[in-house]
Amino acid sequence: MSFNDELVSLLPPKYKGRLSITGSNTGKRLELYIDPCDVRSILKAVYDAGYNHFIGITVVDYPMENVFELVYLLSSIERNGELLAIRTKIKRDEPFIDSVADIYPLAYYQEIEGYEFFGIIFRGHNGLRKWILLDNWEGPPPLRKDIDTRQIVLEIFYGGKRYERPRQWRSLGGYSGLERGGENE
Amino acid sequence: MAEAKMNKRFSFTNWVRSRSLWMIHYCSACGAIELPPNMMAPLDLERWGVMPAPSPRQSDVIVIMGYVTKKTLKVLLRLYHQMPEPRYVLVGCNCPATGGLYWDSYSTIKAIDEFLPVDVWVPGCMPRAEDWLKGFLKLREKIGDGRIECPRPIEDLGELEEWIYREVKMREELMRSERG
Amino acid sequence: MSKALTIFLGPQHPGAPGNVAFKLVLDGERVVDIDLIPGFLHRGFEKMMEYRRWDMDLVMCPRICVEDPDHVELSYTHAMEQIFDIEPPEKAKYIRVIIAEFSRLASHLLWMMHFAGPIAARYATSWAIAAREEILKWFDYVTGHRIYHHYIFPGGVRWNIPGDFEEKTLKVLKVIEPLIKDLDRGFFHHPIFIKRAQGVGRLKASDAIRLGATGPNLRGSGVQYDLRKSLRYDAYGEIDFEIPHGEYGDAYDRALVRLREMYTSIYIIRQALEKMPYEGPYRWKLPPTLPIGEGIGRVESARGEFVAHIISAPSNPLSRSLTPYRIKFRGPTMPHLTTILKHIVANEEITVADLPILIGSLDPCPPDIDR
Repeated sequence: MSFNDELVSLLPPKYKGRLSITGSNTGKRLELYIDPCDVRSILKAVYDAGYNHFIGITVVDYPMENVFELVYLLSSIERNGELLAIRTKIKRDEPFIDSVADIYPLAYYQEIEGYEFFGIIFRGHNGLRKWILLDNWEGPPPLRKDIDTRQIVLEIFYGGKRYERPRQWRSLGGYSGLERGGENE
Repeated sequence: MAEAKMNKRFSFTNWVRSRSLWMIHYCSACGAIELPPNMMAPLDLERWGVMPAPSPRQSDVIVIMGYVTKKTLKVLLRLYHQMPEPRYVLVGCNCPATGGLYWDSYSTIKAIDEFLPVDVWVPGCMPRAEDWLKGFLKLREKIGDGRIECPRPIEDLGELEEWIYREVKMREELMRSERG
Repeated sequence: MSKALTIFLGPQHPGAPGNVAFKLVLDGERVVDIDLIPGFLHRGFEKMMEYRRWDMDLVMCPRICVEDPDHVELSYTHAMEQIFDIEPPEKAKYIRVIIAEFSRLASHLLWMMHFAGPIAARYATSWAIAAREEILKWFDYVTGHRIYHHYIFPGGVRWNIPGDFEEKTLKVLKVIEPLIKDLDRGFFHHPIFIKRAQGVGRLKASDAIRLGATGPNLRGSGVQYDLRKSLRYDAYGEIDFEIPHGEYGDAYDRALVRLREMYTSIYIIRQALEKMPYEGPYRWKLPPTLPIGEGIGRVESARGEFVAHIISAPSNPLSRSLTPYRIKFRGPTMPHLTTILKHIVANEEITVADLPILIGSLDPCPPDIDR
């Protein structure tokens, strides 16, 4: 794959030299590191350059460096499926970034996921809520690295230790039900 | 009929109920993939009287086909309380029995036993099509021999939603406070 | 003069495509707005996978999309092989192609059940499930399990193929092909089905690309885009085949694209059996610790583009880790049931009677959205 001249010409001069090619096999992609304040302008430029097929937003949590890294994955159908990854880093204490839901319609739902699993607030998004986790989880955003869900589950269901059967307050039916005479086939 | 007459607790209603079990048409999770071979081509369940019914008001048995998340549990309890007596519960796959593969998941229920009175368990991950068939046949035998008491004594529930929330959330609080 | 009515096409419904709920806003008989309510199948895969070793994670992968499990394993494997920076042996590439194509065939035959069932064409459902039984028995013969194979592994495939692999596979194809031809003549060219499906849910090509559609939904609108031809992963570069596509973009075209894909799959499997090298290694053994890196695996599953993005970073400065740092899956059903459905319902006249045909022709797999 070669550099996309149309894309390079549409980028603002700050980023013109920062494209790079990485990856191999199906992950071969163009990569671009940007500042979080330029997200909307870069994604608009990229949309005009032909990368209008939105794949997803991957959020990675680095608690040691105190950042969230967002990777926007886009692909272009007219350039035969070429992948473009745009990476930004935002601060973990103030996780705010602009929303791109009006440029790419699918980003609306990927940003809801970023909100409910990590707690990132997308400015300009009018529907941030708990969508998948609605009745499934009460508490802080579960995919952050400082929430130890395994320990929480062990304490609630297993009495705190591994390699134990789940504790049950009662058993309606099953092995302690209404069978008599050892009819457990 | 001959072998059924030799059983001391033979009753004609039980024999008839076991031959015509209607299950709710609800594909709740993974194990639902091995039910189409049961409903149709190779192992035809309709020869044994089992048919998927569209509404819980017209069904006898609820089949839980895999892991149960907390959101599905609300739906299952609602369906179970809308079924008229006599009603039976058939649970398949390892996940609702002891937790299974998702033992450390924050949103699945580890033992469905606490919420619904279970009659037949079908183990496996996932159970083959023949195993589901054997589960249905075992349920048929149990009902026909009269080994299941119906109606089951259940405590007075009051409002359904409140009961569900009370059970699930208060249990978590109690377990957490018990640990200190 | 009618008021808007809100009803739920809830999780327990014979016309719902699995365990998801929709919130419909109706105006008379016409559906004005549709909203998806997911979350009934959420298990928290991405968090659970950060606690297990990378080879134990492969066991959890096929359970993400139950109807088409091998492509999830394949995308995970591609991403892992990019992190380890190796290429699998030639024999493994051809075996992967054969397994993936059989999985696509089985998934399309199960799609027939979800599509023909709600419009009461039960004969087509029975034939499709009977044909799928042959494929599941073949999977049992090669990999040991009918549904969750755990066969495609980073480095190659997990076990060697048996001695009579070629003749057994050709026998299975010989049994399935007449059944698919029966479905072709008996269902896809049936006048009642044509009347019900033509003109329903038109999706233009530019809208499909803009809203993120992939797979047969995109190809039914006329866009000739298939990842097997664009990225040429595994052994697809050496096999030549045509990509089926439609032109008008309604439910009938999408259904015909899937039918033609079934024929294409059989053609690909026959070619792969001829070109495969039967001697040679089938797997490279990999070390137990992960190097630092990042991999993106994109494959063309039966429903569209499946992407696995794996990042391997040390969790503390001194260790090489056994577990991946972050895994993100994006299934193909997320755009189909959210943006595309909303767009079609807002721009076309969809009545409540057309809704099962429309949702069935988009071929959703609900565990993809919730993971």
